[in-house]
Amino acid sequence: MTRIVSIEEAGNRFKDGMLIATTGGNERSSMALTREIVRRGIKDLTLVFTPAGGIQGDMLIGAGAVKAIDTGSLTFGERGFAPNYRRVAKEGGIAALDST
Amino acid sequence: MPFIPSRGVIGTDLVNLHPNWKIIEDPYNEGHDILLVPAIRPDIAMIHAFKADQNGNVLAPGYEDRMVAQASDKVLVTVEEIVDYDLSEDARGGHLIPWPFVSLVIHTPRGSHPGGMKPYYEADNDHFGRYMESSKTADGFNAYLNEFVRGHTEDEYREMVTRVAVPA
Repeated sequence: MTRIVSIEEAGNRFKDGMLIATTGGNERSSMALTREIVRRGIKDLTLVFTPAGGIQGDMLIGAGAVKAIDTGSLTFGERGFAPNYRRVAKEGGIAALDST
Repeated sequence: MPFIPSRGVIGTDLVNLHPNWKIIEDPYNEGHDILLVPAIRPDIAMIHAFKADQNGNVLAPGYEDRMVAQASDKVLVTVEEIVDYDLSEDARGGHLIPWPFVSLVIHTPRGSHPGGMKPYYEADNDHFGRYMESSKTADGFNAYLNEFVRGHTEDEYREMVTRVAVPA
């Protein structure tokens, strides 16, 4: 049965090393849960973006929460490159898989 | 579906990136290979949607929201509104995710900020600009997270960023 809970209670479900799927990208993505992951300092996540990554993935990468992404793209669309992804990828700090 | 067969990827570096992908002989074409790509089974799906009802039915903006929900072990859905009617009886304006595919619902108005959530609100371009400016360095982005995220509840975040924004 589905339960309606606070964001803090929902955040308890996230653990280090999980495989997390997201939807949206730069629009209509759950930034509320994204911020909750950052608040908790969760680490070593693998992210799979459907259909594409945006600020949601970029924030988690910039916060040091991500070890790998599985996606065809992670950009800010018309706004340009995803800035944290770009910086961390240049430093070799993230694995990009691409199963799409 | 446990895997999908595919031929076009064979011969590319994508195969080398994925040690868990298998190439077998195509059982229907002797002498030809076929690639088997296993299903991705996420531990958690995080989705932002328009509405949820009291039973946990969700009205989501995209067809892929339901697909990701069905593929994932646990499904966490933040919503703009919680309504008191049955969304399975009236799913106009979105894509229904039936309650058996939804683990937890969280009421977070403006939960997609700074991204938009049409028709509730547009993207906050000023905030996007600030985010991108701060992200030029690791220290800059760390300062952004400290100002807006770390040590602040989601309610406090909404209060901070909507003070000057267009009301929902």
